[in-house]
Amino acid sequence: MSFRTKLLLIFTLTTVAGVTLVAWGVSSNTRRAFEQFDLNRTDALVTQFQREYQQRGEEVVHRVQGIADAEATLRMAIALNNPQADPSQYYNDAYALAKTQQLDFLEIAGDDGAIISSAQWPARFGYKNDWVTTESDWNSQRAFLRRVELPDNVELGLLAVRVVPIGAKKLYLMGGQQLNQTFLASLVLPEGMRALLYRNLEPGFVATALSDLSGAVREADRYAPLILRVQQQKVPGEMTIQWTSDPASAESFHAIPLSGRNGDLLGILLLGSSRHDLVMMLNFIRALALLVAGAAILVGVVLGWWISARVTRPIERLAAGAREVAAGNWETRVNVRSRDEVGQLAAAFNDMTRQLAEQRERLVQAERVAAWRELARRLAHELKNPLFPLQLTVENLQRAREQTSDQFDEIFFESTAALRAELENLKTIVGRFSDFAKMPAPHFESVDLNDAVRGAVKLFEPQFSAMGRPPITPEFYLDQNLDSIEADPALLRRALENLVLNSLDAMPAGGTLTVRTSQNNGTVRLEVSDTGSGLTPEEVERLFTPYYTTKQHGTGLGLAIVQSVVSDHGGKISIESAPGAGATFRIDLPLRAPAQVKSAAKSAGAAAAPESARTAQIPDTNLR
Amino acid sequence: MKRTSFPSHAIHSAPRLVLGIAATAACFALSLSAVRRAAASARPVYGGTLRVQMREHLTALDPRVWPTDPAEQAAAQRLMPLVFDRLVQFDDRGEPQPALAVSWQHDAQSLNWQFRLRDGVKFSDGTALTPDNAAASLQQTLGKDFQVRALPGTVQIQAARSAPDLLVELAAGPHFIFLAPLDNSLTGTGAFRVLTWPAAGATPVVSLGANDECWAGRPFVDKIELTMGVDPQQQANAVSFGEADVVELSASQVRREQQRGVRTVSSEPATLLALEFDTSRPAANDQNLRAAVSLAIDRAAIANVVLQRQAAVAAGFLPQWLSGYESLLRAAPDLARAKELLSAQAPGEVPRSTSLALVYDSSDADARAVAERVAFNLREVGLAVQVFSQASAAGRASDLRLVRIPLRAPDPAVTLAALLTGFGESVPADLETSESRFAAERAAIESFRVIPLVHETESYGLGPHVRNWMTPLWGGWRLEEVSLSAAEPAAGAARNQ
Repeated sequence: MSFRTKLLLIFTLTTVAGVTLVAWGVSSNTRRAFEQFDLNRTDALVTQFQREYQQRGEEVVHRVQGIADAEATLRMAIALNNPQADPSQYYNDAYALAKTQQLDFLEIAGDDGAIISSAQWPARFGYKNDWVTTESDWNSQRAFLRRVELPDNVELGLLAVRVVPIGAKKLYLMGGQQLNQTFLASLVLPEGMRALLYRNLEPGFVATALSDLSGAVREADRYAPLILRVQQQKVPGEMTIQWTSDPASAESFHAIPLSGRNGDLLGILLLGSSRHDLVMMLNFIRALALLVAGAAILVGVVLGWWISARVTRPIERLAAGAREVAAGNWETRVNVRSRDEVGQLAAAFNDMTRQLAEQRERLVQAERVAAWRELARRLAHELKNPLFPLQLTVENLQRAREQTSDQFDEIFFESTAALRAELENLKTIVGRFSDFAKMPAPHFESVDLNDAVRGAVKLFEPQFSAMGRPPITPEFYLDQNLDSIEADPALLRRALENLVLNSLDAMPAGGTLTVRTSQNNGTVRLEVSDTGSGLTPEEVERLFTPYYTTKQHGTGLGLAIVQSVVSDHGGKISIESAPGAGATFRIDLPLRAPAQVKSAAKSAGAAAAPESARTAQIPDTNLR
Repeated sequence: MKRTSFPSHAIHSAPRLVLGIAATAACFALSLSAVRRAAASARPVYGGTLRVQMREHLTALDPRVWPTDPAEQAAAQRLMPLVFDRLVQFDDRGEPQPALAVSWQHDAQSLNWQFRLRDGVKFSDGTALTPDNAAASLQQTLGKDFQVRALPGTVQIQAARSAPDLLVELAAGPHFIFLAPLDNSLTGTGAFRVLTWPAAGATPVVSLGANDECWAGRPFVDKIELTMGVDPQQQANAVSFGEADVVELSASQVRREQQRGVRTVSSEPATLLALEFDTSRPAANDQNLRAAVSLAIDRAAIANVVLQRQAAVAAGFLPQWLSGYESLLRAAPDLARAKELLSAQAPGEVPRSTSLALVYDSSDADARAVAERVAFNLREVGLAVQVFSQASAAGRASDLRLVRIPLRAPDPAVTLAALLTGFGESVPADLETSESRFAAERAAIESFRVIPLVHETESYGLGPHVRNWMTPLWGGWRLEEVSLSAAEPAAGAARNQ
């Protein structure tokens, strides 16, 4: 992943994370605020309900008191105080009295609690209400909730009791109003809220006991868990009901228990608050957040792309410059005009490449001088050996002129033979230099390295046990599963021969020549080890330098050729050696020649002459 | 021809006048003047329109179409005698008296009856009453069990079997004499003739005009304007506000209307309120349950409280004043015994349902209150009773039914036979003696298939102008006797009879 992509990704992730965080924060705060608002609304409604309940209770007390204070009631009480009184004549009076005071319930009971007249259940006359006679001071009591029995059912009533005392007897008036949807209608509900009343007049949950303003409640069973919980715990409770799969249909309900005089739970007020607005608002926030996030991501991507492009462009130039330098283009310069760290880095890079180029130039010149010197030394050394016999032979010939003809002839023939031999020697020396200069470009084909190794070693078999020298034992550890490699068989053979020859030269006292092949990760390895005297680190360091040799008669080109061949095949060569411990030459070759190696080989092949000229520029020009 | 009867007010006023004269000699002149004014005001006067309201709505005034519903039948019993006459009619004591027939005779087996028709009687359209007319009318109402023939001046009725109660039957049933012209508008010989009869869907107001040629004398009022189908409360309000002269009052309304100053009149307790078990329901077959229901009901509370003492506890089907033996029958509640009966159960018997459905007539003003009291009583012995009206009972089965049955005639045998027949009980051949009637009635009552509750009076509210009101023992009215006073009544001067 490029630096620019990373930077872009960081930008995008940062933007998304930021927008998400803001959206979550806004959403969370909104939800909290809404729930607080909902709680406040519910509290306000509960307060309103309690006020309305209290007011309704006072109203009921007032109405019942109004009946108690009425002249007709007083007359009734006086008449009933008479032992011969006929209570039956008041059978229908409760109904009429209740109507005058707009009461849903009114029962008139005598001193013993027996009902004289009942508005809500006229047929109940004569029935004794024992509970009413147990309280001594009804007239100071407030209204209270009570179950009111009707002919067909039981209702919940807000009742008040007032007593009309006449002499020693009392006339009880038990009046009240039904706590039903009419009462709910008196509550001023904010939009989105509704009130329901559960008349807890039977054990367990009874769906028909739940009503709202319109009467029966649909899907009443959904409220059962909340109702049952309040029935059991007798404390306020809460529950949210989602009516459909749409979260906006959810409603949160607060249940408030309503108790009677004895603390018995007679009703439950449910205040429902629609979560529609909240859900819609949260949806809106979520949609807005998504929109903003989308836009932010888009803007972030564009901006990030632009910024990262600005930021990474000099770095990319630096990277490209570095690659150029790595590829050998020492003249590479990075054009970065900024004054920041990247600009300073680019300037430093340019300085570095400039200095590298200068140092390289200096090094090349120094190496060239050193090479010339080495070449001159080597040439001088190589040429000096045949030149001296040549000089002696020529001088011997000159002196032979003073000899007899026979002697001269004999000397002449001997001298010319020696001259010819030395000239041949010179020719050989020059040929070697010429061969090194003319290293051909490889022609790749499939080669079995094990076969190539065996072939190269076999060439030297006669020398392993040659007369007059200690024997050398070859040992092979060849990987039989070795894949064939792409290589030039002739060059490879030449490199192998040089390596084997080098090892033979390293073991004048005999020893073991060990050859190993192996394969690992697309690379084949060849190791050629000898048990010779080994090399010092300095020797190892210079061993592949052309014309460098530790041998008395070597040209110093063998291992240079090996290195050249290995390099032309895209491989690597290394030496592991220590004085007295022999040496191991390790060559790693790719199974498939790299493309650039192939193309270089092709171009080298196509322009063989100039390349050869270039490669052999120093020795050839000098040799020629 | 003038009517021969005298208003009851006049009869009762005379002794008062005499006492007044004797006791107030010092103020003779003043008293004499006052008495003269009182006598003059009590004297019936002719003219005026009598405004009457009734709850029932009759669709026709035709003796041939005799209603089967007891309430409608009672309404027809009140309305038809205004237009039509029978051969005989009940007097105030319930005895059959001559009407269109002036005399009658029958054979020993009461199979052949001959009625001599009154001479000179004309229908309201002027047509003379003939034996043929009378025979034709009677043949249509008496049916195939009787052969009615016209003889000169006489109508002969031959019964298929002995008909000793034929006189009561003729005086109580739909056996009116009418003339049926081709247009099918029936004409009678009664005190009134139909001026207008409401068309279907129109306001149900019947207009009756005085029949000047009535054989019994012209009625005092010129016209009767009868509004049918009026709610009881509206009727009570109408008479209070002077919008009606005669209205029906339910029992529970009487005391209240009296307190409001309305003059009320009531008959003897002559309407039976009873609970009838539906024989198709399982409860009807449970003797213990039926007995428990009867024992659980506090009839006195219904009579005295619910019906405001306008009813008497009914221990039997016939009221005491009619049967003479009702007091021998038991009607007191016994809750303990009722509970005992309900808890008694034979081994292996399917547990009885303690839930009953009681239906009442929604057009009956007091029926609901009575039914609810019954339900309340039954609840006290552990029977849950669901009360609902007939109007809301569509498709619902009921175990019990609250029925209101006006007594058919002031004759105990005829009435008891009609009641037993109506209840599906066996009717003994001999109901002529009190003993036989008592035995028959007791047997029916102790089967508890029909449980008598109370006998209710028939009550009317009268406007201040109404004079000469006469209420027969068994209910109904005699509007041909009623007159209207011309003067406005003094406030609070209304008097209850």
